[in-house]
Amino acid sequence: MSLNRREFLKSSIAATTAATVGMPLTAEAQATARGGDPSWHWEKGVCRFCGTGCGLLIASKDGRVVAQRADPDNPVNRGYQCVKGYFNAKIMYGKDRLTQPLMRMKDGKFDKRGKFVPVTWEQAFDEMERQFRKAYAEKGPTGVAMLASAQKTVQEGYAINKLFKAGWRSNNIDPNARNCMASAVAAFYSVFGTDEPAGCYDDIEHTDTMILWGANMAEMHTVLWSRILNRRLGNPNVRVVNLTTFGNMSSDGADLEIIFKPNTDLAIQNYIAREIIARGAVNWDFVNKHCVFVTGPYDIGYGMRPTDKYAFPAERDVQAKELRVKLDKYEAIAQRRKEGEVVEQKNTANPAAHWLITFDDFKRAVEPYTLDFVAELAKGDPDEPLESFKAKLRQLADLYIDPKRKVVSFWTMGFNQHVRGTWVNEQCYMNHLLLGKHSQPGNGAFSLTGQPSACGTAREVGVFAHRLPADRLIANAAHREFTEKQWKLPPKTLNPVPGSFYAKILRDLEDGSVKWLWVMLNNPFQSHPNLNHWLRAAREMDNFIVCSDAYPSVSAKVADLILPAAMIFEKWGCYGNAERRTQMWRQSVRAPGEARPDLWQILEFSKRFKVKDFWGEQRVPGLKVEGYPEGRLPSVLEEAVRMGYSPEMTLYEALFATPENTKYKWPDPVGRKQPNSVAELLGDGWFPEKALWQEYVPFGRGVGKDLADFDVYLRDDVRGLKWPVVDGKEVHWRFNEQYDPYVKKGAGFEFYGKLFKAIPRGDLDKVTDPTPVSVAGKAKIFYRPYAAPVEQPDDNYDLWLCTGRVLEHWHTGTMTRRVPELHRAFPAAVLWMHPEDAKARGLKRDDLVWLESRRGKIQVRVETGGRNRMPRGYVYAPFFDEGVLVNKIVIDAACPISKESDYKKSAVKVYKA
Amino acid sequence: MTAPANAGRRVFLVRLTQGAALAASGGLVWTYVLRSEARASPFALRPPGALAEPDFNALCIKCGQCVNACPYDTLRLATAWDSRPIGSPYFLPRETPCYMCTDIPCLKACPTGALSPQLKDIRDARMGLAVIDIENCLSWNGMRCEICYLTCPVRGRAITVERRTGPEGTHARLVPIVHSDHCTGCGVCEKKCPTQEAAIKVVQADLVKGDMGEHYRLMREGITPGAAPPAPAVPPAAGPDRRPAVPGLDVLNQGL
Amino acid sequence: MHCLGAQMNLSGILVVTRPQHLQEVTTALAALPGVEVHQVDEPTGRIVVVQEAPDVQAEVDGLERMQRLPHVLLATMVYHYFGDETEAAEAPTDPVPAFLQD
Repeated sequence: MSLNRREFLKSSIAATTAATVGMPLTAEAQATARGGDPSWHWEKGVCRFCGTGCGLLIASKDGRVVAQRADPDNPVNRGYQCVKGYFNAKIMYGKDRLTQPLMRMKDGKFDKRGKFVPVTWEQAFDEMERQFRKAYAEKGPTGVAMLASAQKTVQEGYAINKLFKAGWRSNNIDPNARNCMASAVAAFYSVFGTDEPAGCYDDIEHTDTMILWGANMAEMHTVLWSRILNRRLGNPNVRVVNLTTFGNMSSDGADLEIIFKPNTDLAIQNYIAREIIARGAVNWDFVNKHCVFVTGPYDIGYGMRPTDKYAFPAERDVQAKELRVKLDKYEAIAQRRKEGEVVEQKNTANPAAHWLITFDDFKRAVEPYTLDFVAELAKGDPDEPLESFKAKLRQLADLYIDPKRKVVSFWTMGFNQHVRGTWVNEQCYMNHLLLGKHSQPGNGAFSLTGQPSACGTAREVGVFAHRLPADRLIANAAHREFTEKQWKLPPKTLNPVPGSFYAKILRDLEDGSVKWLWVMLNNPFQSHPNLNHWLRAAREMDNFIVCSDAYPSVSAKVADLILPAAMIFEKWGCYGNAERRTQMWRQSVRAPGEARPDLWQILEFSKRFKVKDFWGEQRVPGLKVEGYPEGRLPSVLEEAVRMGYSPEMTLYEALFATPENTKYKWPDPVGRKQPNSVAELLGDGWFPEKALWQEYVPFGRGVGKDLADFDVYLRDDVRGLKWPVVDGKEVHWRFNEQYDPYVKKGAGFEFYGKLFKAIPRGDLDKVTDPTPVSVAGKAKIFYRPYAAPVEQPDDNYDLWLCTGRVLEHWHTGTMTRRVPELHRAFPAAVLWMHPEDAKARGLKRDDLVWLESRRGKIQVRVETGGRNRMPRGYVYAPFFDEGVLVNKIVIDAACPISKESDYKKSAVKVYKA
Repeated sequence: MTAPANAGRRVFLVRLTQGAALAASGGLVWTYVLRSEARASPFALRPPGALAEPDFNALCIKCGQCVNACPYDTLRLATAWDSRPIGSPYFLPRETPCYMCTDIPCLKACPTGALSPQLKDIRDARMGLAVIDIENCLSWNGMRCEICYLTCPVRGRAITVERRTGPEGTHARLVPIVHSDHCTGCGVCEKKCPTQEAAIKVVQADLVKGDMGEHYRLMREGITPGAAPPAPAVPPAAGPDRRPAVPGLDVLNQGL
Repeated sequence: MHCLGAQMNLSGILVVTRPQHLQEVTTALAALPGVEVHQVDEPTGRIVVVQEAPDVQAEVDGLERMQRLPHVLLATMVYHYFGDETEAAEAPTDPVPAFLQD
């Protein structure tokens, strides 16, 4: 027994003894009583976890975070939080916090087969650099990659994006937001031409109808759910509908629960569209002025590899569907084809293509989606009578169509993680646009965000393989030129070929085309589906994997080098939430030991490379872009020298510590004597977080993505601002003349996004006139058909498996499982199952079972009760538990447009372990 | 879920405690031990099916069979220094709650009926009653927690969540409420409660339960006006009239 | 993890004396092996001590020793902690979490 524990025991025994006999407490004992301490320093902050973006106040004393409270002045949460958020102050103090760089070593040097040994930062960066140069020399810009994160701060995302794309001329950087929000983004692009929601959270207080599609907000957007319920309770006319594949906590607060079969949300949306037309409820004034009708190809595959070379034997039958699909009865009707027809998937390379159609075409396309057809296809609970399900669908259509009702649709992962995720997002806008119920207070389709800065960092900064800041695209020459100008790069420095998306980076690791990978602020080796492939690739292929993390995650475990990272209140930062609200915080404390902020890691590592290492000619196999030599990036060194760069300059000097940036000095009055570990460690007198912010904001100004200056967000009277911030004012509803200064006067509404606004004409099946037609200022109403999930239960794998989060834990649990209180509340993952399904397999609650799919098997305990009510034939498991790696089981099919994985539809079997 | 603990260690612990109990009765007498029944801790709960305390103490032979049968190591035997008669079984829910095995193995193991075989369904067990400290409960303070509700094995009946509009008019509160007619006192809620000191605790029901008395009936009991009262089972016996003189008369007639 | 050799008996003991003997009794108690004086209530002459003993017998002996001290009116066991705490939170000395190495 340790001394401390013994002393603690003795004093508590003395206290208990005294209390038992009624002796008064000593002053010392009373001193531990509750209450704030005047020596605490309070700073505003943001919750580390979900995309809601609740405001916090963080207290620190003597270099440690000692307390927190929810911020009563923050309009998002008004002083409330969920139980995860309640423990923000404790996530930094887990016992196994990483505090030194660790590297796999044998006989005093790096060895992929070695054990982890503590090393200095110098040794760590030496090996990281050596391995980087080796991979880059062998494979060029596509041989290196980063799996980035929507939990990075804006400045971290901006810096690493610039280092990869401008410094290393590699676009192989993609965030975990790919598996979270990419389908939402793809639909924002295709429908509106610009990313992120029109509305805001205030819609909740303005609307009278809230419809949840695949969003268990009661557990996953907890504080917003409190707002929804408050609206519902105070107003008897308000209705809440929960569309879901199993009964969950949101059903408990909903007026109407609709349990549907996986993927049939596509059919239900078309049923509503058909009803809108059939009941003469199309808002023609709105549609004629502001919308056009479009469609695209159906034969787009399922985002899997086009070859079975890497597939496990059991995976081959499903993988083959990537090339050709035999239509089932429902798909045939839904797509106006014949049952059993085999369709070659010809449009896997260009799945996002779309073209104008007429309203008559649109009407003809939704015609098959009658109530009878959709009800038979979509009913998800085998124990529910068909008539009851039909009545519910009719009620749903009534709620949407009622002209006296305002309607908000909310969705998250049920839509986004979907083999047709982009389609189903587009369909949601379809119905809101047909009814003219969008971009108005209380009316709109609202895409909720999963992660704390999916919007602010991943999407707005463009930390994706195909994006640049503020809605700009790698593939667009004008966007590259603009970015090169902003970044003061010689023309053609940027690589014009989009890099590998998240899943592709892992596939590249498996086939040996990526040799150097940096994982930062996420945990792909627990969170990406079909894990057995990637775990093997990480450990058995010839590659070098760096993982920056605060705790020994699964990804750290499979890495070769682990860099200990500072956590949220140990650095300055900025997050952007789901309602376009940008929120900043000051650093409160310094990280323990040698743990250091990710931004410092990025900047310090950039000092090891010179301009001449990358800005000379580079080989890029397959590059074929107008204005570039085939297969190569041109040398831009000569032009760089003319612009004032020296070939010997480091990337740190060329990209980050530039003359403009070093004008922002640290310390700065806005710092209010708080620490800044990045500035302190760099030690060259500038203020990187502020300088990078000021370098970044011009990207969005004048294009509808305006952000305010750095100091504004740190003012005590500011609790984040919703962009665009024009003349110091936030915009609550975009595209609406009353609220958004970007809309032309007199237009009423204007969908001014610029992307994909020149498209050809065609009919329901094909392009008929390829001449691009401008649809500037318009939103697109898409026709998208029902398509079946690529993998469905059969005689062998006879159950649907859906995965997701639980209220108590954040993502892979690396933080929340270190909080003893949260761990105690939900210590291990369970498999929710219908009691009859359990009984039929000879199982009871708490039994240990094997959960097996074509991709592998794991053990988990059965739960037949609790918060989720599974229909027969359907099981659910959360992914937070590293002891139950459910992603070994999940299929890695994806939406072919967004490349976002579908975590919700795997076929599995369950049997006693 | 909690995995059943090592059986070997459990048997060892039972033996050890029984040894201590013997030692205690063999002349080792402390005032405190003697008084232990009187000051029984309200936080120590009896196993499912336990009879009322005096009957239980009379029947329990302190054999430790229930402790051996518990697959979760929930039950323990009181030592001389615990607040219960030495050798009798109890559990502390914050440490290990009762996981409500449907086959109730502890009860089946009881050789004397101190754990009454009349208990057939574990959901009818009344080991204690959960009470919420609403001043320190996260949910009552507007946080989205509800962990007690989510983990309650009799969720939706023993603990429900009531939705109330929030004082700020923006965020509703989802407040957990315990219902004594379904709460088994298993203590899972107390175990899982995330506050530093649990804001929901299971105690012996008689310590916290009130009693409205016979003279008043609440609305919810559905009384129909005009309905005839049920006839008393035994008519009042007709005895000699022992009524005093007119009530109050004696006082009225007293001199001032 | 659980080894008998490391068993630990901690008892919280209430000692009562007359207030005028408080100082003398406190000093005598503090001098006993394994005994720590934790709290003293002057007006009522009550003293809380914690005794650490290797086993039950030593613990009983210790209590009896207290009872025999001059001016002690009462020495009684109020709280007991009995544990084999070898497993407790010994801080990990290896900077590399074991999880990373298996």
